[in-house]
Formats: sequence, C-alpha cells, structure tokens
Amino acid sequence: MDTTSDEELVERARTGDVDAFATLVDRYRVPALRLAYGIAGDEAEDAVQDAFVKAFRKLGTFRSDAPFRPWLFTIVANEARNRRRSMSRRASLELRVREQPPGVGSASDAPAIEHEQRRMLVAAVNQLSGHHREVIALRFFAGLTEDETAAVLACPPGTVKSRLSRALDQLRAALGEEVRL
Amino acid sequence: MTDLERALTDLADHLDVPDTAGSGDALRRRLAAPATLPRHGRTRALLAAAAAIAVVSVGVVAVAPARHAVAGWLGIGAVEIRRSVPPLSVAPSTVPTTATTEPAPSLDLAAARRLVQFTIVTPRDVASPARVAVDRRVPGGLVVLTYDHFTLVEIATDRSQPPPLAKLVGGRARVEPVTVHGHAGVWVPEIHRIGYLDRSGRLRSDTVRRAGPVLLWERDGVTFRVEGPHTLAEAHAIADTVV
Repeated sequence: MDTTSDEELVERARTGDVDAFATLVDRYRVPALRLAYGIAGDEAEDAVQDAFVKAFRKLGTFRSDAPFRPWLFTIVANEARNRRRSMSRRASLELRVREQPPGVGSASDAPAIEHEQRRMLVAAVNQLSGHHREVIALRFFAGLTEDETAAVLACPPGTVKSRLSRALDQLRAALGEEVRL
Repeated sequence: MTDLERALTDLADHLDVPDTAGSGDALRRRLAAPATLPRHGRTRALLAAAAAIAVVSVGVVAVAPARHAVAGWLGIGAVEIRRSVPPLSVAPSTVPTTATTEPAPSLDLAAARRLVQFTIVTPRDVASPARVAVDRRVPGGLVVLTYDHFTLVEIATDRSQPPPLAKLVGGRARVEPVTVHGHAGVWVPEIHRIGYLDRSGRLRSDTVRRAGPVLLWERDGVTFRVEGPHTLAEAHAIADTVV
C-alpha cells in the first residue's frame, strides 16, 4: 500500500500527475462510495465518479494548508445530494445490506443473526430524514471524525454532535426492544 | 463508542454499495482525459492525423461535416459509437450544468406517451416498468423504462439529423453487429460510457455516464437500447419481447 501522505500526493496531482491522484482515488474510493450510497443510494457510483473528476479538475482551488479528506468528501457529498434531488422514486434511495452467500456451512446461527440485525439496522437508517442519514453516512459509513464531518457539513462541531445524537436516538427508537444496541 | 455506533461502523462493511468491476479503471481514464478538447477544426485535423479515434455510424444520412473527416462509422440510429484508444476525450460542456443524464421524475406510461413523438413499445410478459422517465432534449423524445432486471430505452430517430447520443468504447472493445427482428443492431458487451452530443457532434461532458453491456437496434424511426443483461442471449431474449 502506498504510504505517501495525502499532502504530497495532492501537490503532485496539482501539477497534472494523474497517477498521484489515482493513488488518492484508490485510498478514498470505498469510503466515498459508502458516503454517496448513504446519501443517494443506487446513484452512488456515478456520483463518486463525477465527484473525483471534479475534485481533480478543482485541485487548483484547494488550499494546500487545509486537510484533503474533508475537502474531497464535501465534493462527494455535494454530487450525491445533487443526484438525490433529481431522483423521484424512494426505492432507489433505499439502502440494502449485501446478501450473504448461501450455504456457507457455518456451525452456528450467528452469521444469520448478524445479517438479520444488519438488515433491521439498515431499515431503521432508511427511515431517517436526509439530514440525519447524511450525518450517519459521514461519521460511520465514510469513517470521518466529528470535526471532518462538521467541515463537510459546513457547520460547528456542536451541531454535528447534536444532529448525530438525535439520529442515534431515532435509530434506537426504531430498533426498539428487538435489537439491543 | 456505543454498541449502536459499533453496529453502524460494522454495517458500512456490509452495505450493498454499487461498485461495478472496472469502474476504477474507467475513472482513471476520465482523469487522464484532457480538461478541454481542442476547437472543432483542430479536433478534426487531430483525429484524422492521429487516427486515434474512429467514429463510426450506420444509418445516418446527413452527418455533421466533422464526421466526414473520420473514416469508418458505426452506430445505430440515434446512437453513434465512438471508438477511442484511452484516454477518452470529452469536451467540456458549453450548456448549463442542469442538462445532465440524471433521471427525470417518474411518470406513468400514459403521460410518457403524450410527451414523445413515437409509439412507446413495452416488453411482453413483464409487469409495468418500475420507473418511466422522458427526456425531451432528444428531438422527438427519449423514454427510459426501468424494469427489475433491465432498462429499455427508446429514442426517436430522425435519420436526416446527426445522432443525439454517443457511446464511447475503448479502442479494442468488441462491438458486435447483430440482427434484431431482422433489423440491424449492435451488441456492446463491455462497460462503456454514453453521453449527449451537441449540434456540432461534440460530446457534452456533463452528460456522460457509465453504461453496462447494451444491445442496440433501430426499427421504424425508433432506436431501442436494452441495458442490464450481461450476455447477448439474455439481451436478445428481452429484445424478442419488444414487438
């Protein structure tokens, strides 16, 4: 795995080094897809493709003393929101858990139970408002810190804390007694 | 971190996030594409000189002048197929960014039928489409019918006009000529890109999206496009119901 820092890769990418930016793409593609999926469901892949292309083209506007991750994820979130706005059917916004391969031959029921719990959790996430779902996606699906999440949402960290807290409360309420989380 | 927070972090690893094989490579190609394409005349000269891009089209009677400069056309009705060696070049759009291939709001079929200037055909033996969208940027209209396992797109096709859409496929990508109900078609088995063309035949970068394997054919002034099946046989099976 490439251990070159984001800063160095960004500097190289600014001079048109596509390989340097491709390394950043490899580094952040999965969390970016997860974030975009949290916001725009099935449109995630196209949103992320467009976001990375935009980010590459906009590198000239990136302040080199600023952290790269929040800047990149702001572009991903914007692209995903744009896609969500243009979608009308809720179905394609709905998040799903990847199906378990059948017949894994496990000796216990644990995998099936875990799968069922994830399915219930994702169903609860699907019930959240766009704002709440987004903060969950940033914090847990993309793995951003609270400060990074605040930077992406352009709001104070306190707002992220309270929004997150309300989102988690709603998830607990939706999950009720059946799943103790 | 609470149990719920841990469960959400774990959930991230198990989400059914769409991630098509090869999309990372496609992205690299997009990144490698120049931010701007040379002006029209220069494009023509470059294309002819370098022979890097072959643009092919069938069934187009009147074509934009630039297209004559490039040998060998392939395409079906409203869709031109551009073959290029990477990097795929895409012109920056000069139209507002609102013009994208993002889906329009879903309609019912009756409403869609009023909006397009051709008869929309729905496949036999399947339930109603889950989603119906019309794009009127294509003269005569374009309708997207989304079903569970495939998407059928029908595009008004005026052979006297340059095609409004282009598919971009890699230089060595397979593009198989086929026949559907006795009409000429093509099968593009690989992931490629599709986008709208402006009047001078330039691809509008803000409309380009990724597309999977596709079967295209033209019949009676309508170009049909089936996306979703991964094999020609599956695509043919669907096409056979579109009569």
